[in-house]
Amino acid sequence: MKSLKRLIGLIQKSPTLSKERKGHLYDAVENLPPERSLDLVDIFLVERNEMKKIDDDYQISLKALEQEMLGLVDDFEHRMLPDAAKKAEKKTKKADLKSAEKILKQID
Amino acid sequence: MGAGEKFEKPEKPQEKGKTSPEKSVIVDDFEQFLLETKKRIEEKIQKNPDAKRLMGLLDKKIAGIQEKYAVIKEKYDEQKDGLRAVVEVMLSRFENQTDLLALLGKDQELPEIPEGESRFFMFYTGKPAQPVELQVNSLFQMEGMSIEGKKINFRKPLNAKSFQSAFDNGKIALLAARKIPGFQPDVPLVAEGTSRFFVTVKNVQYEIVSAETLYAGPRFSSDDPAERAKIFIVEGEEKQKEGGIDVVKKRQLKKLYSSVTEKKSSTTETVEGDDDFTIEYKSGMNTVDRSHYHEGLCDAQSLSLVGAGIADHVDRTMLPNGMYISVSSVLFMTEQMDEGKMRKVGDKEIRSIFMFSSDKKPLGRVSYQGGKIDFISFLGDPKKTVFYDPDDQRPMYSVTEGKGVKIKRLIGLNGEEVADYQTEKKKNPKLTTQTYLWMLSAILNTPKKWQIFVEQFMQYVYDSEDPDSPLTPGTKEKHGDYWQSPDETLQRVKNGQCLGDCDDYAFLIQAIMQKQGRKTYIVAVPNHAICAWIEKKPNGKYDAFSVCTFGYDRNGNRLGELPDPTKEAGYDTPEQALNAVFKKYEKPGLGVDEAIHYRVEKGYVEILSIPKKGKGQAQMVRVEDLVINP
Repeated sequence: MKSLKRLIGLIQKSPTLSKERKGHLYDAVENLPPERSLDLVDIFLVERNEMKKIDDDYQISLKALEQEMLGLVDDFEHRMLPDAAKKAEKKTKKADLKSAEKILKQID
Repeated sequence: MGAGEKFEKPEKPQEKGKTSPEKSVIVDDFEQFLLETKKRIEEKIQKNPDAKRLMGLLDKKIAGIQEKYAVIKEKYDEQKDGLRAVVEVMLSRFENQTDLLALLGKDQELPEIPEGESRFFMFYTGKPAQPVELQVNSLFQMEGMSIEGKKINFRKPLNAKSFQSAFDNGKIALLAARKIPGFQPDVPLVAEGTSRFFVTVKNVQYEIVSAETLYAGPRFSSDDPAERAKIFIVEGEEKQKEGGIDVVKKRQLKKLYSSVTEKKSSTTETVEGDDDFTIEYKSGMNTVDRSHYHEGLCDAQSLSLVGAGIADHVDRTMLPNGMYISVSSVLFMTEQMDEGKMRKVGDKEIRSIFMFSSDKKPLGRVSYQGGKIDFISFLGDPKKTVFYDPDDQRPMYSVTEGKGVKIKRLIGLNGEEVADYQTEKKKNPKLTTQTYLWMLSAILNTPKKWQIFVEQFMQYVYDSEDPDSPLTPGTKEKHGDYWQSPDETLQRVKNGQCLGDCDDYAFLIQAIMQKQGRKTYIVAVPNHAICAWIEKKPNGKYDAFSVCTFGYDRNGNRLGELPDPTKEAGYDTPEQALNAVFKKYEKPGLGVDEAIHYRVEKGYVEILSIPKKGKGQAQMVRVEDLVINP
């Protein structure tokens, strides 16, 4: 009974099977002898383990990509944007200087 | 991970509550994270008009990351799909193993079978027990079997659940194959599914179709199993079956090769199967005589046998647009029903079978009442419904409905609709009124048909006031009385109906009954005339009958109305019986404008006859004289 409950739980959590397939399995496992249901438990444990490996790999790859993205943000926010602001300020000062010189020339 | 790779079994199961393989926080959030971050940087860039040139750079960088993400996601999905495939293989292997153990017996040990290899299992089955050797692959599917040393390979491996069907049909196919000239028993057959078997002899491919499970069913019944199969020579390109059942249509078959017994005699056969159903039908007549389900459920296959009978039973001429329900479409239709199961039809229970064409278009339905066909209706414009006689289960009449018009037509012996004499004569110029009367006499063999005849064929008109122009219709107020001979009535047609009044109806009905060898009388009722007769029952009671403008009546129980059982029992005297028939005229009706309270007077009634055209004659006779079997 305990193993059947466990088996049904495992089927329920299966990440790859469709709802329909799970439904068929629930019906099938009811009549399985205990030793056969243990074999089926093994299949779902294998699935769970493998899925975890796949998920871990995926998350590692995403973490790396996330870092890259954060690096990009940092680059923009702390380097490119301030640089652009400084350049703009410099340009304004230069323009102001030029216009002052022009006015002075006109006065002369 | 590929589908073929194997997993290592885990040492111990993982504890609950830890990372669930179903969920990944980043998986769900990454795309959102990417978009939100991009938006944040864009807003900052926009605040600085001099930094706008950075926008292009940002787009480029983000596109690069999105591309990398797509690669990672694709890999993840691929791995997940791969895992799904592997789990499916493992599960199907497990299920196959379970089914195989059930077939072979639980004591049997099933070894691991490496991929690409197979193992053989020997066991005994059937009565008397026969040795069978199964060839099983690494997924525990049956790849072939040997029955008493004769090999059958399965084109597509089968699950052990299909064993019994493959075994039964395989035995028949092996026996039938001996009919093929040059067939060597050591040449293996190749099975497709469980009922089609192929063998190549001298470069000619033959197909053996077992009749045990296919539509052929009881039509091919024979004590000799070898004759329960059809053998075809396969020619041309063979198409694959697509889940449907209409197999024959999709194959090029040169001819029916074997001497399969296809019974043509009009004997009634009974087919029984596992106490689930009994079907009786006349094979030679190709008609369903009777079909009913004894108990519980009846599977699609047995139902299809009934369906096949129905399909044969329906005459082509009845179907609009020349449609014909093929056997395969009936098989299809049975599959539509509640996963192929049909409940027993009780005696008073009404059930319908819906019909579909092989391209799945609805054709109509067959309605059953108890074990009998009530009607078959065909969709279309006009819609046509064919009603069946509950007694002889033959088509009785059709109702065609369309464009606001409803036409009722009697159905003849060959399933054709019967029209009035004038219309029939156009089809067959040699037709005389006498032969037409003979034809009607053959068709009108049940009370219900008489009722339809009166409704369909007769149109009541008053007689002419002018004796010189007797066939000019009169009116309710001004009319005369002219007795038409049956010939005249048949030829006086308007809108497909014979014109006449009550006596004309009665004389025509009498003429048809005369052709049936039945003695009847035209009895005069005040301002009315009816065709009537009286029968003496074996218990000494009397039944009186009348057919007239009021339809068919027995002892005052008019057809189509709820019968009164006391009247059904009959009457002690012929007079009482006839009076029961007269009672209906107490209410006006067709041909009786005012209520008539008429009863037999002093034991005598007036009967009418037409000894000569246009000449009527009346005489008083004793009611006892109306008894046709005194």
